[in-house]
Amino acid sequence: MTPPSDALFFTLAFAVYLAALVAFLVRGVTRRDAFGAIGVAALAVGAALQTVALLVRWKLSGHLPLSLMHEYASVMSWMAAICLAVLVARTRRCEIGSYATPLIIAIMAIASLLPKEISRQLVPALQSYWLYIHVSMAALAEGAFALSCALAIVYLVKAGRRTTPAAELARLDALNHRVISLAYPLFTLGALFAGAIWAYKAWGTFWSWDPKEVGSLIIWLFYTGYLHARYQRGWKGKRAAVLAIIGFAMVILSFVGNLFLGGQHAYG
Amino acid sequence: MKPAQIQVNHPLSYRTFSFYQASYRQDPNQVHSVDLVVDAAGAPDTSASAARPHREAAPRQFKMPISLVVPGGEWVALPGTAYAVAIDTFFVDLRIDVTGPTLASDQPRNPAVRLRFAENGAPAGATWYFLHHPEMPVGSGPDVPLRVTGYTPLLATGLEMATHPGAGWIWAGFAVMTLGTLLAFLLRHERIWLRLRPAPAQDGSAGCEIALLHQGAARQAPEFVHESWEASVTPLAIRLFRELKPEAARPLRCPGAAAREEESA
Repeated sequence: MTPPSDALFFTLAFAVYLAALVAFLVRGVTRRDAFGAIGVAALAVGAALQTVALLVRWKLSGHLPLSLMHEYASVMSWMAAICLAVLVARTRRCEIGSYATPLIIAIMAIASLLPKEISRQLVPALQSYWLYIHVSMAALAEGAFALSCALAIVYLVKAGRRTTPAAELARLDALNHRVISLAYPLFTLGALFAGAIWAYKAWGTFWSWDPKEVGSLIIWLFYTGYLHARYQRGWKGKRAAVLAIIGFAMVILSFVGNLFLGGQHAYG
Repeated sequence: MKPAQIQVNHPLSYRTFSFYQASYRQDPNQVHSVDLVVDAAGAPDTSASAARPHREAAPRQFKMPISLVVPGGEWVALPGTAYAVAIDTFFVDLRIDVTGPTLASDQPRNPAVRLRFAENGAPAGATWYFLHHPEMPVGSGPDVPLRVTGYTPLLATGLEMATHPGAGWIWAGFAVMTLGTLLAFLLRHERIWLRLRPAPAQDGSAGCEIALLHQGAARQAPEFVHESWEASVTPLAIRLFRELKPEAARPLRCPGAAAREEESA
């Protein structure tokens, strides 16, 4: 019997996320909460299908699906979808779904365009338990950064309407801050610290100015600046939202940069 | 003496030194050994091979194939012939251009080996054999029924020796920053900037003026300003003012202080 393909579940998840987007958009037009509930349910089902896709890939390859850019993007979108489903379910703010779901779909579309051939043999440099710590935490953090970008877009759109109550904007701003407060420590400990420790174990140096390392450092410094600006200078609202969008643009640049800049993090 | 295996992700540490496997590769111009098959029955059709000695249209059918391994740097006698062979040159990806045989890449796309022949110790020419094209050996060697069937590459690894006198500080930095990150994001903390200055109250008694310059919380609480001001900021300001200005007369007139004094009374 032919084993199930991860691509099948990946495609199903993609389709269900599309359905979630349609539900959120319909909810935005009709203002009927039932469609919002359908959107959240579809997000949850999509995340479950993507979980199965990742598990199948894990089973077929014999290692956690974190070694290829396709797998990384898939985990990133998976994390964003889970966070979004929880966020919308808890806050009942379906408009967040309308803006964040397209971002998740876009990340999955990028993932689908990248090479995805399963190899049972990991390259020697990746044969370490640090792969699981470093890459998984970085992917989860960047998934949360994606969600914060979507929240920032929602904020800016709502702030552009004069009818939006200030309290609602403040809550959106606070939500975004919470999402970044989740992503930032994950990124700090996973992408930077765990990465540096692994580099020391594998390559004999904590830091080698690899393009991906430099990109991650810039992202980290940027989000550190975001938090400092917020705490020390009181940057909230529009300015914080713009920073969150720029921050995620940097994440995407760093991700895509792997294809052009090469380096020690370019594994396919 | 302690034997140890050095691999990527598994360096060898000895005192203050660490040895890492920095690289590994297949040597594109050298080979550990070459696998041959020779026909011990000899050349089946000498007249044809004499006419076109090294341009056969198809691989020969060997009657008594015998497998041989020719290690690098050694002569090996070919059964059924008067010859011995040794490896002369190897290319993992041979390309012939105007300068002669060159290495096209370090990938095994067209492995080729040039074998030197000797007959009773005397040089007898040399011939190129192609792993993927056994039908077309090229060279000045004798027309011996043999073909190259494989090779064992010569693998090389680069070792890196490193010492990190400051590694302890880096580990300490990691520990402190990890703790700091966890504390900053898992524990709630708030930060308030106040400006306090003496200002006489309406009744002429000494008082203070408090200005909230900025407030921030590690985890955002939109209601912070409205609900926490009376509860936390004002008593803190009064206490600070008294500590900084011990000579200031009482009572202090600060926002919310009167109401609290009434409550406590």
